Amino acid sequence: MDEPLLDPTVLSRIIGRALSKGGDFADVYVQRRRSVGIELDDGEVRSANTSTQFGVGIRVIRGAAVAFAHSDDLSENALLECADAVSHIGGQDGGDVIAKPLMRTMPASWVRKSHDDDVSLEERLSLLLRGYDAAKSADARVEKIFGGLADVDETVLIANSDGVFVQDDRSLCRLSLQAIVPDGDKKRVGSWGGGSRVGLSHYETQTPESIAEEAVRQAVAQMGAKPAPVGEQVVVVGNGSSGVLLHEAVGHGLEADFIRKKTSLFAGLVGEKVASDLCTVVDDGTLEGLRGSLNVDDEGNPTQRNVLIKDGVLQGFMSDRHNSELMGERPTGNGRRQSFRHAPVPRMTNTFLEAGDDNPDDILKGVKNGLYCRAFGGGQVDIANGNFVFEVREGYIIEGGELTTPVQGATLVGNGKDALTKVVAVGNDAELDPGIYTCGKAGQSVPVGVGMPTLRLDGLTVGGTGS
Amino acid sequence: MSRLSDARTFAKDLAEQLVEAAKSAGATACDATVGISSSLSAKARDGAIEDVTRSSSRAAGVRVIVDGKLGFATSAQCPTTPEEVQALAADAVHLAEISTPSDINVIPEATAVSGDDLEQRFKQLKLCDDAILDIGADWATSQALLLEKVATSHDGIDTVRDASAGSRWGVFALASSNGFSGDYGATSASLSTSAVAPDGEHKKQVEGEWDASRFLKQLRSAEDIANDAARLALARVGAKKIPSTKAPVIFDPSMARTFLGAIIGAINGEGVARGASYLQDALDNEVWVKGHAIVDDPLLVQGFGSHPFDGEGLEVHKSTLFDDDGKLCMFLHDARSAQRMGTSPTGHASRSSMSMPSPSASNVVVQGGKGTLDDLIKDTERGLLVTSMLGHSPNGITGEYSRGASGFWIEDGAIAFPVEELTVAGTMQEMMRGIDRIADDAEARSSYRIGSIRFSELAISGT
Repeated sequence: MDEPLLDPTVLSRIIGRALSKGGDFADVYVQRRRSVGIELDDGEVRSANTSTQFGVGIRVIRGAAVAFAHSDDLSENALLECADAVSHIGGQDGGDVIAKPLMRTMPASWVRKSHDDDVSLEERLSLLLRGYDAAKSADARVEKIFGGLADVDETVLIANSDGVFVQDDRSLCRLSLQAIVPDGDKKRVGSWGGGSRVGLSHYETQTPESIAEEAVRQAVAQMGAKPAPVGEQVVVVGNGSSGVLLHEAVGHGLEADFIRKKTSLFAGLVGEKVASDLCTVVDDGTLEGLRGSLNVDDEGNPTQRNVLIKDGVLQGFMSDRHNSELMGERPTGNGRRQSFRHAPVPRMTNTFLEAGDDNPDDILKGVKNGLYCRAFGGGQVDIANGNFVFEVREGYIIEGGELTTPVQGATLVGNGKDALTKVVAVGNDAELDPGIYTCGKAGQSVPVGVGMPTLRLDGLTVGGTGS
Repeated sequence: MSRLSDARTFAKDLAEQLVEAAKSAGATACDATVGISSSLSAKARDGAIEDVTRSSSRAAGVRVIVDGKLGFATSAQCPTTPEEVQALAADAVHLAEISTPSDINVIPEATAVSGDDLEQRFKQLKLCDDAILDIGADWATSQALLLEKVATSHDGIDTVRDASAGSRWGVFALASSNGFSGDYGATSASLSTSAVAPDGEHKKQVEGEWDASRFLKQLRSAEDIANDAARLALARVGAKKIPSTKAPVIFDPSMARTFLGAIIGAINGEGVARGASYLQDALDNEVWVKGHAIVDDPLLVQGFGSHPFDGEGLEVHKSTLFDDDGKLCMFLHDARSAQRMGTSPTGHASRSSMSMPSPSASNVVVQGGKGTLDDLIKDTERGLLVTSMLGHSPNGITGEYSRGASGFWIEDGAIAFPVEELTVAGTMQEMMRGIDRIADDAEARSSYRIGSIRFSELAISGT
């Protein structure tokens, strides 16, 4: 086992001090992280930077109340002061738990194929330059290429009053490329990328060249695009990163904090039909090496496969320890935090819709008039009323089962309560995104995965400037 | 103020040490930033405190240029020993070595006031409130509880989403091989809450209200904020979708601010120099509505965007971004974006301790506003008032704008009913010229000072 980031006797003292005025639970999260980022601007390095951080977050829970403080001073004195600061919340009437002795466990882990400390800056740069060269030679019309490669190496240590004591090594990389193609007085932008947690060897399978080709393809496909027809329509979404739809439409609404506080419209609906019976939605943090995966969540609980919706019926939620305690449920391994400076909240991992039976080509052929969406930007949701939007970057009008005019500036708008009830066909081509998405919630960003098969939805609103 | 002045001294000394270390490590030019901040917040729910968070952070960044090659290293683990200072500087130099040399990598000459003049200017800006430095958890918890209590006392409001109170202080120091060394501090406090109103069996309407100020006694009261949040949420009950149409659209001040932000984003010299802005070819063109000059003012007293020097040690002053004819007068530049475009830096370099400089506006003021939001509504026979939007538009490169919107439908000069699940769309280029009214109701709680705006016509998508 690796040397722990902090001595367990010190950890026990911190936990004891945090609970010294009472409380139901306390945890300590130690994180050491180093990241490297290179940005390329048309073949030239626009910036190269590294960043390091090493700090501790201490949390005490009493009933529904949470106190949290963090420190980047790792001396025992500074950490005990931090523990003192959060101990006050225990001082209101509440339980008086005694911390259990720490028993270290090993997280189940996949084998990392490379140790990126050994990868030089020059090697990182050459991955990006390969992408740049490929984008440039993919199409003479490409005017500008932007690219970036970021990778993170970190170790986290979690210890709590339940006796949990686990340390986990994590890495994450992300390479992205953007190609701009002029089209008359307009500019068409294509973006693609990918990454995972296996280390920079990820780019031996998903090569920078393949990323570049897709970015250029997207930009060129939009040439001649016209404003999308607006209003409610039959919409077919292609597989993969269309999973953003799922993430916004139902994902956030199934996070346990919103459920417990009754600010999600899915609160109280377990056992009810919330989607068409073709829909089974899963959040799974155990998928080996993927961007949204973790061995253990940021509270030390193992991640797991959570079936959220089965055949259209709501089964359960994604939860952290705090919310699951309060709701009388078991934690689901979804307690995540952006860094030691943040307290964990329920977050998604890899969230996707399972494959159905239909041939994706047949799904398209079956649509007389509608919109086909192939590539997506980001999205956003208001979980209280369930309204969500997400941007279509590459889309086409469907006429008589065939793709015709490309469209620009289209946004899909819907409501999580009924968006999935409109699913009338689910393809057999389920796919996850290549590892490019980051989810923001309550001021904290975490890397996530999304996925879907090709889907047909009857009655989503398309927004845009068309008629 | 001694906590603040101690932090300022620490930050200034460290920034200067980092510059010296970078020079010895081989930098031809360099600068270093150090940021120290501390914040406290409390959230309330169901009559009790739900969350108390204390944060403090110290971070440093070093930017070096070695023979035209740029490198940048940061540590959120603020270096404290000479060895750590050397190591961070050496990291930055190593990164520079793999970069591509370029003429654009320059550190400009220092022009900002310094020493006593700088201290004088900082005092005049009134960015620090002793009262905020003195408040502790008791203030935050009692304010959060009060917000929650008042918001939920309204009939029809069953809970709040985030009743919170917070305070923050921070200091920032910059030292540069151009000889500049300066530092300053700032405080702020904020209160916010949202109110949740059930709307039928399966839906909820959530609206919030907030205030922020650099001075505690200028903050709106928790009661006022909570009452507003409740009122706004209740006004949305019964919201429905409407058929797609084209009509005049009013953005309330908070939505107008996001629109202004999108314009300012497009005149960022870095984006313009990279060929990634829909306004990149628009210099000296009339692209904005007439009669409402837009001015950037870094020396606005108590302004949220105010600062006594720019992020590279250049002098700051008021500048006209768009004039009264709607002409785009300038882009915002830092030294590198200016160099790239063959022009001079404009004193708009902005950075945190953990980031490289990039151009940014400070306080942006849209002039010539007349009347109130109510006046705009009264003068609109038929249209949409947007009070909330979703989505990440516009596309900064193409100017395409398409966002999920909710608000109120206007009929015969008055609010008729609440609406939701719509989108409004257009292009920034058309929308910027398509404004026919700007009101005089800009708010001091933001660094963007723009009142409600009305577009003469936008595409609205619904059913």
